[in-house]
Amino acid sequence: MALQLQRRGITRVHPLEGGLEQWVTLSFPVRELSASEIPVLASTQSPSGHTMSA
Amino acid sequence: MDTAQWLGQYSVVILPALVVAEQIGIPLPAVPALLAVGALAANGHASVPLAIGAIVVVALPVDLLWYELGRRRGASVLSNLCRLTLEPDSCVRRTENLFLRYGAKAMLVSKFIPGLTTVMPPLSGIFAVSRLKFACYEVIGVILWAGFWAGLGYVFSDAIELVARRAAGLGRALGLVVAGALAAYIVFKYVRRRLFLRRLRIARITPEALKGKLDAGEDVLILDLRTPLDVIAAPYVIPGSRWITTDALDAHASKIPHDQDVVVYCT
Repeated sequence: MALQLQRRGITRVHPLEGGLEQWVTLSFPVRELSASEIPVLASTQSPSGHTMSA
Repeated sequence: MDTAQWLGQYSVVILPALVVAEQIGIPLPAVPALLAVGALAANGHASVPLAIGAIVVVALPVDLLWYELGRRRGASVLSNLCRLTLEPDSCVRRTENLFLRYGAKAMLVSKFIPGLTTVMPPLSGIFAVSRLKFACYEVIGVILWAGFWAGLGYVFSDAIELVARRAAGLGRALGLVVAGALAAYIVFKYVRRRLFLRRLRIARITPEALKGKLDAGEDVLILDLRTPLDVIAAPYVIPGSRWITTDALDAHASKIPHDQDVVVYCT
């Protein structure tokens, strides 16, 4: 994704070290998403133990 | 005994071995072998149903194993599998997007798309697709994929025989050119990725530094680049961030100022 942004001329891209997981581990504030903001899956199942990093 | 005769005689062993190699992430040429078996079958030197049956018998347990790993260990299996590919980020996203769009039915076509055949079974496990449904889609998917390529070989057996004869005439030189081009491609992709990751490492921002900027009221553009699956699993964001999916990135890119620092984060 960062590469995609750079290809579009957005060069001042700074990836957050450790991602959201590290942010939460440090007990920094987060905003809970409302039900309307959460994406809905086509499939009825929900993923299990999803902690994937991209 | 030449290669064609050898392939015809041992197709029930060679083809499943090539398919298993692909299932564990080793890119071996299963499609050319299927085309060749189809062409041999047209001349009565091999049996397509027997070859496809052998592939199903071997492929199903291997994919069931990946499925169980996905079911028990979650998304970490998928991330680890995608690390084996040349473009891990797009591997994860491409597979997730395909599954989000089509559900378990994506398995019917996943064998036709390089790389997906390895990651689709653990993804089915992660999504807790039922075992019976998984097995049915797996078997149908294998029959469709193997049947298509072997059938193509059967129909165009004359053309394939001609190409094989020409390639054999060129001998070792052709093999070296193809192997060299493949090796150069892999090295190019690998080096480009390493250079890019190095640049990104240099540009990284720590959570503490970002928190400091937010506390100081600095105008920071923060983009949440998680996949929909990741957002569902962790339905919260860093305050002030905007969630953008890969599909929507093109539409939003023009609105992102080029002279501003942009902080991006994933899971």
